[in-house]
Amino acid sequence: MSKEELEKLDNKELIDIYKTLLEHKEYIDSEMEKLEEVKEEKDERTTGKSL
Amino acid sequence: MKEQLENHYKELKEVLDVLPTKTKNNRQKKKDYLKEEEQENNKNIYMVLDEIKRRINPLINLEPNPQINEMINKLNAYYSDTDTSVYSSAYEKMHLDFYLYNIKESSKDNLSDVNKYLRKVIDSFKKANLIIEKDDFDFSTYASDYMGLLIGGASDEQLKEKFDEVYWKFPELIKTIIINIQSIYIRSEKKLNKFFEDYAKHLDKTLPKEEVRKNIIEYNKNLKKQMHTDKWIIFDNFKTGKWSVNTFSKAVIDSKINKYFTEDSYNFETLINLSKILFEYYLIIKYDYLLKDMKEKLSKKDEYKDSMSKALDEIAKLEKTLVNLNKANNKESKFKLFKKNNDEKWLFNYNNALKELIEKYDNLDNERFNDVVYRTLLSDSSILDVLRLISSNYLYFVSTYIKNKTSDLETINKEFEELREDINYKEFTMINSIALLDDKPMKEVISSRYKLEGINIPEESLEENTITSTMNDINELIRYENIKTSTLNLDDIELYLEMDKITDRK
Repeated sequence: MSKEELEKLDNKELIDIYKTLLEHKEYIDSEMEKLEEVKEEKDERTTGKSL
Repeated sequence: MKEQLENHYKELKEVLDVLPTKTKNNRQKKKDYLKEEEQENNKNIYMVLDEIKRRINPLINLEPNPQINEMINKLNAYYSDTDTSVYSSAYEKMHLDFYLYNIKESSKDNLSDVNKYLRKVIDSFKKANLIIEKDDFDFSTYASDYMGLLIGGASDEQLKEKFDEVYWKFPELIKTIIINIQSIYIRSEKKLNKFFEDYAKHLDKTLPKEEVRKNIIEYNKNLKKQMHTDKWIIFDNFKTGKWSVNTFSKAVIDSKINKYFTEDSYNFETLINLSKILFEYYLIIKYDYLLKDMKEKLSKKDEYKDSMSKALDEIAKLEKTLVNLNKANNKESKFKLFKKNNDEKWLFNYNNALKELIEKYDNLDNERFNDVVYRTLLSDSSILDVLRLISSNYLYFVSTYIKNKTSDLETINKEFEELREDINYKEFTMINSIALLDDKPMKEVISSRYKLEGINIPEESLEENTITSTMNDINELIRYENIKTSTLNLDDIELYLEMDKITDRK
């Protein structure tokens, strides 16, 4: 994606791209969260065993 | 570009789905991969945002035009300062009609409003160089005591105490104060009328030429023209949701143009003229109940020739009786009205005189209006003359309004203000040329007139339930043309509003 390419888009296309990028951001965030959850689950199991 | 992004996302998801997460090491690798993607995505977001900002910045940087605000302030000051209408006497110019009616209505349930309007009355006499004192209230000792307190600056609480103390002895307190004020006005009417005549002359001499009343319509027209094409005002209408971008889409605008115009007949000047005529016809429909009543009054206006002076003579006689009765009672006992046995006879006479005087004053409002009709209207007076006369006479408006519609006082007052705005300081081309008593088939006249120019305004579009929608259509076309003149870009406005929505959601 370049500045020049963006300048060529009309407003509707531009806002569409913006929305797509925001959705992708949400996807990345949720994948990160999932990873954290897996980590937490594993930590809990480890702690449980030691108790 | 969107397709490229979507393809990339698809590939990314496929990779992410198969990446192992069992070990800490695997998870860290996946996390790093995601972080890299996040950085790239954020970079793209900022780049898109920069481009969006570049496009909507001219809108964000818009500011109100100070010249327009200055013009509005000047115009407002002029409106409130120069009630020089030929249809109103000092009584209306001082707003006594409005204040006294509101005192009467408030006296049913709100003493502090009664006091508020009484203070306004005292103030409006003061502005006209007439100081009202306690002793001017000579119809009753109770009335003079109450007004003495109010003029002396007593608080609402102190006045309530007085009111409670007096009420059971003299329930007609407020009504008596009202007619006493009317009487004070009549006694000073010549002086007060002269004050307003001098004031109007003074204004015309001192204000700059372009602000003189005769040019006010032109001034208003220029102001409106500037406002209608002002970028900040237009943008604000979209921002605040008053207007919608969809209303001005090509498809909607084209369908409206095709509904009313041929290709040759569509132009801005025609739109403006048509809009004015529709508005004028709308006024005829909106104020039909007033115009019908005025037709009746106008057709028998000669009957009103001496009715005001007769009513004033009767009032003068009754006032003399009432003032004498009040004085006689004061001589006997300054503080107690009904002490002695023969007071019963006195009380009977006093109450009768008071009751009759209140009735006469109620009727005087009507006679005062009839007198204005007699003095200022002719059998060929136009619809505009008649509406202007009504817009200067609050009491006539209220009494006719409540005969035809049901509303609370606040709504009635608002509607009266609306009438004043509708009628004054606007340019008219139709209702100022048609006599009220001339029964023209208006719908047919308007429809035929525009047919000649290739403009389709069928009679059905001028009915009571369709005229507003027809006016809206034409006004939206005018707005569309004004937006074009302002050089604002509707696509950029839409982009701004869309961004606003996204930001709001976040």
